[in-house]
Amino acid sequence: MQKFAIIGMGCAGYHGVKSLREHGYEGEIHVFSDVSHPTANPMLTTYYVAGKIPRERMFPFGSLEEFTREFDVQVHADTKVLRVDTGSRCVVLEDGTREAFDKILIATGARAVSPALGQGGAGRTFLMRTVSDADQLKTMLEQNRVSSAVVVGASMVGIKVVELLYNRNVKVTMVDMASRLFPLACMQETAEILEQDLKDRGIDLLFRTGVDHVEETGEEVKTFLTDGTCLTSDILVLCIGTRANVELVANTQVIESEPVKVNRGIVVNTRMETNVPGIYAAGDCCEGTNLQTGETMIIGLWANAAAQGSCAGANMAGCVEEFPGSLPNNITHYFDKDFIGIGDPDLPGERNIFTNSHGMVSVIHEKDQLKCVNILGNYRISGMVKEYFVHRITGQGEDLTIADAGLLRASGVPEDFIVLLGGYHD
Amino acid sequence: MTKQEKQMCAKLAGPETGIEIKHSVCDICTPGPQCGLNVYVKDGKAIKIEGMPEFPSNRGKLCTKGAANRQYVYREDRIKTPMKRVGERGSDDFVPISWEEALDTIAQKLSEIREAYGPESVAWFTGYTKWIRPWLRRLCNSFGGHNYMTESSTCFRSGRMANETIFGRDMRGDLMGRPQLLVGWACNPYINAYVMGQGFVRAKEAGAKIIIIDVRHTQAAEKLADLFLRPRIGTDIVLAHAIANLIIQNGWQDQAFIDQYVHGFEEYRNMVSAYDLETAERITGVPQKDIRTAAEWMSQIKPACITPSNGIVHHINGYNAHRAVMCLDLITGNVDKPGTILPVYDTYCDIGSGFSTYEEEFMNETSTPKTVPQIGEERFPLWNRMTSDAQTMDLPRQVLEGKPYEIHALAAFGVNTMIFPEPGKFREAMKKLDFIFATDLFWTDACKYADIVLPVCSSLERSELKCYPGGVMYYVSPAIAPLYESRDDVEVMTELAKRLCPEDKLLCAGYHESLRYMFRDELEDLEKARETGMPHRCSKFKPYIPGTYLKNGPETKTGKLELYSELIREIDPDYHLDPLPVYYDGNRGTDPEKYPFVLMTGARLPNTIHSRGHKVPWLRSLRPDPMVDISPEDARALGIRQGDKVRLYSETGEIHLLANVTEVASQGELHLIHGYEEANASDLIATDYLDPYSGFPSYKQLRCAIEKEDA
Amino acid sequence: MSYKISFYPERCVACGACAVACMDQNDIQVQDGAQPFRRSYQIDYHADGNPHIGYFSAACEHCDDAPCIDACPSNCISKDAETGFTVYDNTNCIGCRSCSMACPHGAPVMDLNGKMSKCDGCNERVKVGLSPACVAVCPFDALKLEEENAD
Repeated sequence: MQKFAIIGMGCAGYHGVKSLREHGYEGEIHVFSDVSHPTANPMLTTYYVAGKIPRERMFPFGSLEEFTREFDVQVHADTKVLRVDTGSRCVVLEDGTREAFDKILIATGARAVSPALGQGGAGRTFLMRTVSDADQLKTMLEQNRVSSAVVVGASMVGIKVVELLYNRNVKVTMVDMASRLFPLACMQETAEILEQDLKDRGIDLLFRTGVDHVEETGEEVKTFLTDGTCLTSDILVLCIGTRANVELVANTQVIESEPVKVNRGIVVNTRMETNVPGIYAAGDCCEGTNLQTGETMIIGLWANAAAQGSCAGANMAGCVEEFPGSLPNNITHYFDKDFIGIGDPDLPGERNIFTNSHGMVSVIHEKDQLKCVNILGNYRISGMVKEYFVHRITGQGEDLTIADAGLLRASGVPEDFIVLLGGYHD
Repeated sequence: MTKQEKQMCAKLAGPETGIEIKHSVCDICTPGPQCGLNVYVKDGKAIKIEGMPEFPSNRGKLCTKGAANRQYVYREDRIKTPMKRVGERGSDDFVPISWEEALDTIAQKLSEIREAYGPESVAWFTGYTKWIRPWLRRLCNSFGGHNYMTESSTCFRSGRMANETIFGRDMRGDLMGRPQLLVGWACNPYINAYVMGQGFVRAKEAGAKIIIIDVRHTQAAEKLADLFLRPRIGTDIVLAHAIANLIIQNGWQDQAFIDQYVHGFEEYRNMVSAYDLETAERITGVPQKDIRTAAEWMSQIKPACITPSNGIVHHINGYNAHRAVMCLDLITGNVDKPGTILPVYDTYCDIGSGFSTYEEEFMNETSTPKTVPQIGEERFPLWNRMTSDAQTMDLPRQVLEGKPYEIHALAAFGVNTMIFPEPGKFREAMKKLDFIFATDLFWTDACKYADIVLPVCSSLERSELKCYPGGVMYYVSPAIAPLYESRDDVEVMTELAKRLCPEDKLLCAGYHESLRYMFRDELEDLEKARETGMPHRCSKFKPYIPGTYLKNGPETKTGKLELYSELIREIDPDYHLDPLPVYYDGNRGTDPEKYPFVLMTGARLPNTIHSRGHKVPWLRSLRPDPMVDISPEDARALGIRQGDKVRLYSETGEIHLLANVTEVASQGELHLIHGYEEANASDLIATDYLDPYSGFPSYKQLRCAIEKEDA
Repeated sequence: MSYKISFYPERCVACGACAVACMDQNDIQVQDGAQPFRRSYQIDYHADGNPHIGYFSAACEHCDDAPCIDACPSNCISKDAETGFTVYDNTNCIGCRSCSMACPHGAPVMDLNGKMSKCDGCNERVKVGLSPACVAVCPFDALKLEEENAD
């Protein structure tokens, strides 16, 4: 009987297991997880802290027992995998145990960046990624008087933290090295509008400056910024970004085989195969194809991890399935705002803004080549726009149909933008 | 969710959910096509509406408006109690009063006015709903009056007059008789009446050819037409005459039929001979080759059914437009044969059902000899000769001028001021009246001018008998109890009769007794229909046998089908009514430089009929803003883009709305639906812009201008 | 076995009866800002140099491999085993709109409580042998409930 290992039980790991079973794999599945809880979604942590969902709802697929039963897997909880020996396809645990597998899926995900910031340890500095992070911040907010906060990172996570703090009447300052809100997704034109809304709510925004070091006391935290400013607040939340968990294959001594190729993440092809036969990777720890550039990059999205995990599972089960890749795309809802970013906002090109009563669409394009689209308000069109955006840059899928052009028009999309998505007149 | 909760949520009927399906009838549109409803009722409240599968016409289907019945019935502006005005006319200052006080006040006021100025000084006017007409006419008669009038003064009746002028009787297209050519003139059956639309689709699928003639690029033009002719607004007569001329020039007419049945062919031939293809193309804009194809098909494909829709009469020369189109049936011999046009014999409430009733007797047996002319009689003599109603469009003038006599009171059953061109004039007239009472479901503009307002209920809340073609009788019970304090319209009339004309025992006896009088030859059927609450085929039903009417001789003056009307020839020549359906430019004297566009109002949108859908949120959501259709070419020239704010103005008035840039509109033409309080199409039309034959307003042809407004 | 609500554009005239029947079935309070699940619309276009008008009705397509299912961070969306419709239980919905981003048809909408909702194929009606509300009402049979074979 075959024996497969899944390392990591996040979204990609879960979908890898599910897909293996759906594609008829009947052998053993061993899941190694460095935590004791079932699959959690990092996106849900801020909702839990905000009190919008109970704790158990951070685990969208139910309990470990249900998982074990439904997919007939052996879960090795609280078990950190130290290394994967590629040649022998062995999983090496912290206690030195080695176990060989026929195939291995690395789905170790990513962790929040936590720089060394100097004097800390008083429990006033927080991250926001894991269930444990959420527990810590929630406890702090509920058991202490928190009236001011510094949030570092104008990211999709950062904004949700800002929102939940604002809703608790906490005075918030948001800091980012970048020049604007959502720097990886948002064009300057869109950011200005969103930033104004935050300022109107009394939220301070400090851009183009980073954290130099932090001094924590029992009463407060002093955040010293690179531009010399010092912010004093009750708490500091770091939402700077994530780093792929690739150490188990990176920097390891490989004797009998070539190493797994790693850039910022583990490099995979469209079948989620690494360069080493039998070893797959999926989710936030890996680099899939960026459809916009053709290069590989980490696209840290839940839906992306699910698709990659499913694809890996299918291929491991002996089927041929491809996940062509993705491109940066984000949708976030905070306060009464809907922001949608598709593509790279830093690419050069002609810039256009279309505004009407349904919202605003901002575009960077070179002739009919789309580079970046931002949508404010009209969330309902996001998936259609993304679909045709991908079509425009890859040629995959259908040309804009009259039916969809009409639906976009009926959804309030300006005519000129529909033309950029492909037009529909002969 | 538990299974039961899921079923509740999905509104499944049954003992588990306590949801019951009750049968009812939709009363949102005009009576002819009204559909059977399944009303899902839970705890006395309608929670869902569906078409009734057992119903012979709709067979489970519904149109857009019908599907919105629930929100229509529960519209937020339903009138909840009888109300008495305490403020200025036109204001919203009303206080609730009891039914007794309301009815007593109305009776007292009307009696006083009858005493002081005579019964003719009260106008009895009904708009929507239409099921009450026989009762209101009788009430007017029993009161001693003759000024009974309806919204048919602007709708339907002109076309019927035109048919009666030619044929001596109203005629209807026979879609069931397998026409091989269908000519939908100004007809978009998909939207006007979807059951007719289904008929067109079936005919097309069975291989019939279809010609659509419309000024708009409609669904019918897109989906049905084998040939689509698109004349300019108001030039239908020229197109019809050009087709006739080509047929006659080529000898393609059915000469044997003409010789046997038709009167006035020579005069007609002379008249149409002026319309050669070049002239026709210049005036109508329709390419000559298309006119030729239409003429070939109409004369060569048999049987052909050539009928205009109602919209064609809403022109200054609309009655003649209807006549001109119907003349094509005469010269091609497509009359009283299966698949052509057949005579209509009314059974009840303007519907022919294949059996006869005593409706006419019920309505008119209490009438008294007329001592003064009816409203509109002197101004519209042909209307007066051909109908027994007063012509409503002359009401504002007579009220304001007091000639030939004064009007002092108005009984308004479901009246909306927006029906009148220049409704401000009608509102001014209402201010002058001594007493007005209004019944309605909703708080309309007319209610604001009334002294007493009475809440009436919808079709879901009442008992009602309806008859349909094929001998179908359908007598429903209330699906839900009347909302708030509302009562049904006939109940209101019964109560008024008890106070105003107690000697009319039949009217005082109420709705069902009246029906027993009218349907006294079909009593068993009536009671059976009432008992079952399901569609019931009347035992007296006799299908019409095509050819009978011509065999017995048309009911005209000459006993023939009249291309040249002997009835019109008898009317005083000072009125300048022509016995032939002559053409003249309907754009009156308006300066085309200042008003370069021709506007047509009232072409149907699927989500409303008149103003009735505009305040139903589901329906309104399909077209949230009042919009004027403008062609892409014109929009480009004026710098107007989709959704831009525009000002639309005529010599008479102006409205502000949004632009809808679409191929629906031809270059130089604009279209908008009527009935919006905030952008009322009627504000653009002059009060005297009426067809001299019928008195109908020219809703569908008006010079105007449009300009973009600043955002 | 799997059901689909098939759309035949050649029969559609964008009358909107389907959209309204859907609103009635699902109590869509458009007056309060709720968005309809099903939409009917028309659009001008040119083909062979001639102007045409296209008429359409659109809602959730109940894709075989529905991308919204895996995109949902709270696992609210699933396939009904009996009907094959893409159904949902929005109890745990956080209103993040990830489903919208995943859907190439614009199907998911947020209800007045900020939770995802959409066409569920009138799943419970179909289970007892009834048609979805939009199919039942469509005067020209442009919408049909059709069964697809599982092979």
